[in-house]
Amino acid sequence: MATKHTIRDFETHQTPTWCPGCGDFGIWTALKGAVVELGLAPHDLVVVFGIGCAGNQANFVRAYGFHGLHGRALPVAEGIALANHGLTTIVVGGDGDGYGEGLAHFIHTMRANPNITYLVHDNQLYGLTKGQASPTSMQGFHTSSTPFGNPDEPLNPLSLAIATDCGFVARGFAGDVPHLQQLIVQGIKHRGFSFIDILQPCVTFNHLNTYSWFYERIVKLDTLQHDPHNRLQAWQQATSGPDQLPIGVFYQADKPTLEDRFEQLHNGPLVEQHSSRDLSDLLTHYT
Amino acid sequence: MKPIANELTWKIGGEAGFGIMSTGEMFAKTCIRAGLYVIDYPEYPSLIRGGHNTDQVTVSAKPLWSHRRPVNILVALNRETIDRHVNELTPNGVIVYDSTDISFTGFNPMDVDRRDVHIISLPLEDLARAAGGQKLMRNTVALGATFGLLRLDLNLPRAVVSDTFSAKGEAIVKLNLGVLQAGYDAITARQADLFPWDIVLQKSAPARMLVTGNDALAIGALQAGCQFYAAYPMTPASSLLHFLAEHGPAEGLVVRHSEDEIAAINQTIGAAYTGVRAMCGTAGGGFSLMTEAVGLAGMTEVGLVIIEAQRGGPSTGLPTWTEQGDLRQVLHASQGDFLKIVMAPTTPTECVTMIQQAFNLADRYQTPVIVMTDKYLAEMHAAVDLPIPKIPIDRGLIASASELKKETAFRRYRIDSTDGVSPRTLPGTADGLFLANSDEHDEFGFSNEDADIRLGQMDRRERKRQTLAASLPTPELIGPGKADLTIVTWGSSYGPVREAVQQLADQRIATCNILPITFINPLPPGLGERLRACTQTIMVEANQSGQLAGWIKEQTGHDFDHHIRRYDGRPFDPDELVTELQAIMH
Repeated sequence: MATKHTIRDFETHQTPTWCPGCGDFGIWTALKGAVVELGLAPHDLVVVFGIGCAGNQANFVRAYGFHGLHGRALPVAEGIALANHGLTTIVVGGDGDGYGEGLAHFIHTMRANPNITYLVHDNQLYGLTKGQASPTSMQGFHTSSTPFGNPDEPLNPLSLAIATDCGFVARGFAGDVPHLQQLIVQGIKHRGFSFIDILQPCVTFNHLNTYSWFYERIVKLDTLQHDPHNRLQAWQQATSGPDQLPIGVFYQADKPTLEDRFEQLHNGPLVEQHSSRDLSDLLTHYT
Repeated sequence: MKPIANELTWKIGGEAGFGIMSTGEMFAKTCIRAGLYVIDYPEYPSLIRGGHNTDQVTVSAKPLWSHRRPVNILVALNRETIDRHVNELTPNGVIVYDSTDISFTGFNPMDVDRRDVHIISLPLEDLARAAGGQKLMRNTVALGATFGLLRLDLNLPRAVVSDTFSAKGEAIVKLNLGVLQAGYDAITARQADLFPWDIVLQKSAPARMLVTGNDALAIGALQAGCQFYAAYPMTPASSLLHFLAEHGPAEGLVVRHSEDEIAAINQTIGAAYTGVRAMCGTAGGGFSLMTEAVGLAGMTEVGLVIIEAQRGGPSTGLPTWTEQGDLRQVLHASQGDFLKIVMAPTTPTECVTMIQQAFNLADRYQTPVIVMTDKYLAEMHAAVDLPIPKIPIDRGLIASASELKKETAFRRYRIDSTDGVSPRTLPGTADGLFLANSDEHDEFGFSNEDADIRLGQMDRRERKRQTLAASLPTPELIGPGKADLTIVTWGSSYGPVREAVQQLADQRIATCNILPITFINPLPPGLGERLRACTQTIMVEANQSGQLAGWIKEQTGHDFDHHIRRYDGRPFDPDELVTELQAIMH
């Protein structure tokens, strides 16, 4: 009965507006490949987008899309996951969006552990507003908002996620699509909140963290005898940069999801439940 | 039978932590079960321990619209209560004070400068201990003494006390019943005879419940089929979260205590987009944080309900006191032009129905609906008739499978919609894919900045406002059609206004009618004409700048002849309103 969906089924008729060579193309390709590989149908997929170059992908992914506010994609996705946990919910955001404006939501969503896969396009600056420093920009980095060098130390989203005991912590690279696609597949399969930070060169504004800069530093965790169930090892690998940038699954742990913790969701998605109520018993408490 | 039956105000005062509010609730519940109308008004500072707390309960056999200030029985658990409130007592009123409380050391009742009230000294703590209880139960002793003065058979209060403590086990119930009896027995026949008020059971009264405005909103939301509620605690909206967190799970409602108000509203938007009825609630400060997402809901056309419980502002302001100073921030929340429906119920009874209406409007017009209350309404307890009204549920336009089959791609935001509303689909529906987009968008939801698309979508969304405005009922005057003065008011201020107008009529001082504005955006059609036809108009509202008066002037051109405004954190007092209205008319 189920027809196999193709990459094309997950593409709209809109032409991507990213700069030629932008890492966003690789992430977009990996995402489409992952949902096809998993046999999902476009109408069973909800993708919530933040605001930025990453969020502009909203126009290019054919699914139920929600293009929300800068930094606020995660709470929208949590509401969707609680209201209909029968859907596959993915969040696509950026480093300014998710680590700047929306950092608190990132931490609290990890604590809540809804069944959501979170992809962060991490290009270490703000692309859509023309190249200002972001929370992951390197210290000393010169941008239009930090012309004398970025005074702040960069945020390490991986060690933050491991410290918060996020159940799935991974890093991918926009320049290695097959590897990234496998990470997204694993992230979607993981029950609970899956976090994937994606290193992504910005060819227009970031002339420091370029494709070649990344190629010199990236190493696959698979080649390092890394045990993703060992939190201490995960911490060590996550803090090993900046001269070595491991990619792969840093940490994975199974635990109950947010949806599991609501007994009223055990009989099926909230949206499919009857909501007509007889309140007479409840109201007797107040008589 | 005493001279005055079923018409009194009882007040209890003491430090926070003395059980002031729970005693008030037990007194009020007893009166409800006696078949009476009740309104209570609690006052407390923003503290957990210490600070002066009071709860006053007004009781009547006739419908009540607000608290009344003159007090007939004052229960003083500490001396401060007498110092602060002795002048609120009516002649022949009674003070019952706890002579065992340390604050009364050296206290001489003769020093109280009121020769026209009776002062009864009761060793509440000693009485509680003698009955096997402890100091904490002296409020229940005082409750027993109250009913002794009122000569009400103790069976009814006993049942209320049993129900209140039943969750704590049989032993605690028994102890409390014992100390209740001790308080009742401590009142002598002579003391009771000197007190001219009593409570007489109304046998034929319909069943009523005792709920706060927040309880009433929660009950109405459950009746409307709400399935998701998210909030971050903030007075005076917190008890709405508490009610739904406690009772929601059994009713299939998911409640999230979110990390902040920004998350709360975005989660609510996500849930509503998915197809469940969803609501969030907060006070003025939290609503400031939600503001950006109000626009998101407007732009993506996701219908949700937001409760905005006002307190004194600006900033942290007066956390536990009332005000109606958030109207302008709600009306103008978020950048750009879009429809925000703003409603303001006047009483707990109206909270039950209006919130059901709010959910229907959210679904029908696919836009945020903001229901405004304030501390006075949110936290007052009042009698609400049972059974509660049930408004039929209207989920608005949802595209059918056959409609979806007809199109190659679903046009979620159809510019050709004549009434402005375009059918939606729920995620998961085959053939119904669309993008809910905070960027301006074409009919499918894709980002689009073309001038003609922009105008088409802006004008379509504006047509929703016009459709709604035309469908609203014309404003209805309460009271006689012809009056010396028409009082326009909104929200909780309606209660004291209605009490004051009743007094003016009873005393044959003046004929007034009232026009409560429950739909604030859009305003009801014909409001300007209606106001211009009045002899004189006055706006009564609890803020400094006359926010509703200004909005009505802007929308209708009507200038009010007079204004009464209050912004000291206290609700309007009916007696003071009578004086002020009289001064205006003479």
